[in-house]
Amino acid sequence: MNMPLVCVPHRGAAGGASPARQVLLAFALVLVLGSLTGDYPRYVLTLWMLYSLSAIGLNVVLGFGKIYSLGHGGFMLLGAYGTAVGLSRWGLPVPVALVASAVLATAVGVVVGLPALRLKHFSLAIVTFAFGITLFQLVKSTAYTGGPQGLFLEVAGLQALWQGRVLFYVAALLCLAGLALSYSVMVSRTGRALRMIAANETVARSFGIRVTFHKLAAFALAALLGALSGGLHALVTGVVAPETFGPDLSILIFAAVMIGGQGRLLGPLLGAAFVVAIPELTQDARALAQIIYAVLFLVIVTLSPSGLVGMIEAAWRRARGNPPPAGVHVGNATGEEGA
Amino acid sequence: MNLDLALSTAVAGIVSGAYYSLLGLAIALIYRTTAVANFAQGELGTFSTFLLVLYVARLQLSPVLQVLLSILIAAGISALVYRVLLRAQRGGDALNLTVRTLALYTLVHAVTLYLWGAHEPYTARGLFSAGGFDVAGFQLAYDQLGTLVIAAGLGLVLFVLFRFTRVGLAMRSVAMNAEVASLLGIDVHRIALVVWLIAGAIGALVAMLIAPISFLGTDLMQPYILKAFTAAVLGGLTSFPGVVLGGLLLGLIESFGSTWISIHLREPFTFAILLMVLLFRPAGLFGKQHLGRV
Repeated sequence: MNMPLVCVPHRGAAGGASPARQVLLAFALVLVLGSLTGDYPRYVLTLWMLYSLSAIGLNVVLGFGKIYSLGHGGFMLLGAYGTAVGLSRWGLPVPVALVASAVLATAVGVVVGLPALRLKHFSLAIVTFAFGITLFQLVKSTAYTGGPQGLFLEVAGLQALWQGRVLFYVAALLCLAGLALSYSVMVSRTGRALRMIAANETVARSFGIRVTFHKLAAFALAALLGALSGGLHALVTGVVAPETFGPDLSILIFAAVMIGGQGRLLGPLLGAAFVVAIPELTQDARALAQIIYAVLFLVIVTLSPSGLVGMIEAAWRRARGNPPPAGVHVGNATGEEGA
Repeated sequence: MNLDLALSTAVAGIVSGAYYSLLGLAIALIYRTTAVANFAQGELGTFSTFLLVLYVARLQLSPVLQVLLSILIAAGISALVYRVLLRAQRGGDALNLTVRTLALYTLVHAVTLYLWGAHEPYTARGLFSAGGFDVAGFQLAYDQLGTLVIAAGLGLVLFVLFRFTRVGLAMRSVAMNAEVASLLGIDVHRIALVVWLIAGAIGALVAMLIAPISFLGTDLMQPYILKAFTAAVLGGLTSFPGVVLGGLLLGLIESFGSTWISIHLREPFTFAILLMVLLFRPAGLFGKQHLGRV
């Protein structure tokens, strides 16, 4: 399909030469690192991988399609609670519970998305945020899902398997698969359609793009990846509690995508690294930790609208003495809108 | 349900609806003029209420002056936020600007928690005397009445401002189309600054009304801000009276919903109503559908 005029030029994540190979190399490094370190660093790396997975899903919706989804924590909740209920109430095997809950979350994503995606911008953000809060309140007030205490999972054996390496590998591989999926969406017709919908829905429609279908597909994909991430989170921590999957989680993942660089392939990984690493690194600062996190968050999103990826690219260009390529604008400089 | 219960449920609904309306108005104002969903609105209100209770209240001023001074401070902070956070560093799209306010929300919350979190909750002195009086057999508390009077008065002031003053006219034109307004010689950024001032003042006033009836904690405004967003969307962001009606409606629905059904299902119930309304009217109850031109 040819799209002149509005088609956004696509840049490789690392500014040119074969991003796939570099990403694979980086992942191999992470795998080796995760295998060699102690239990606790491995646990943190596992968290990084599964938050990345969730953020990769949200990036497809938020970054590519500019669809304001602020209820991503709700899908993680569905994955986590689905897995927990499947394991502890129905006695399902772990993979079955994980997959079943991901399927359930995808279905919920479609059912909620169908009416919700008629909305745009602000209204959509509020509806999706309310969706996340509603799920949070429901599991908190239902005895079957453990009420305010949540549910404990009998997965100590799985967690201890090969000193946590098994869950780490599963998380890393799922994250890599999510990244590959997001890359294929990015460079395919679907990705172009999404970016065009983001630029102007009316134009997209007039080009014969099925707007509702593409938005819904992106939303469902995000729900799927979010639920897988949530299910893994339940397995890794061995407990699901409502507070873990409350509105703050939706904001955290949203922040991760924005901090990393929305619409950029590697943005979610960097953003997830930020939201996982900063609290870990500032543990000694205790009460100040949250303020440090918030200040960094504020400074990054204010100074660099394309997030950490944008900052790194700018630094890279400066180091090589190259000016930014003229005339190339990645599709997030559309100026003010909605007024 | 007998009449007494129905009446008191209705009054409670209208009072919380008034909070939602005012906050929703502040949010809609900012959204329409600067295309930003200001997530930090509630937290800035909480922050200035803490300033009032812990610092301004120590000054030798009458309570009304103390409140007014705190509202002024809050308006100043809000304008400063616009100037430093949004205006000084351009280059982001609407999403990026909104995320900046989300980051600001995180920061203000962290600071409030750091400074005052250890000793919460505080008690804020009420702006009105305790007690109430009988109206046709049921109790109307003074603070409920006072809230309604203040909310109605503020609504009237805003109405007069929008309808009959030059700056109000400029605000409406910027809200309608910022580009055309600037072509017509309106200083859009100055208008935006005024809007942030007003929104900051409204946010602080609402927080100061809420603080005495609940305990003053660091999460004072969190339940209200989400409802205010909902009210704004429910009423339709394009119409300011629509936002006010949306807020009142939301308050009533919530109040009757929690009396009839269950207080635990209040949020899911509200969400269901919101989704239903938007399913049939995507632009909100009183909003106009924006037709895009290519």
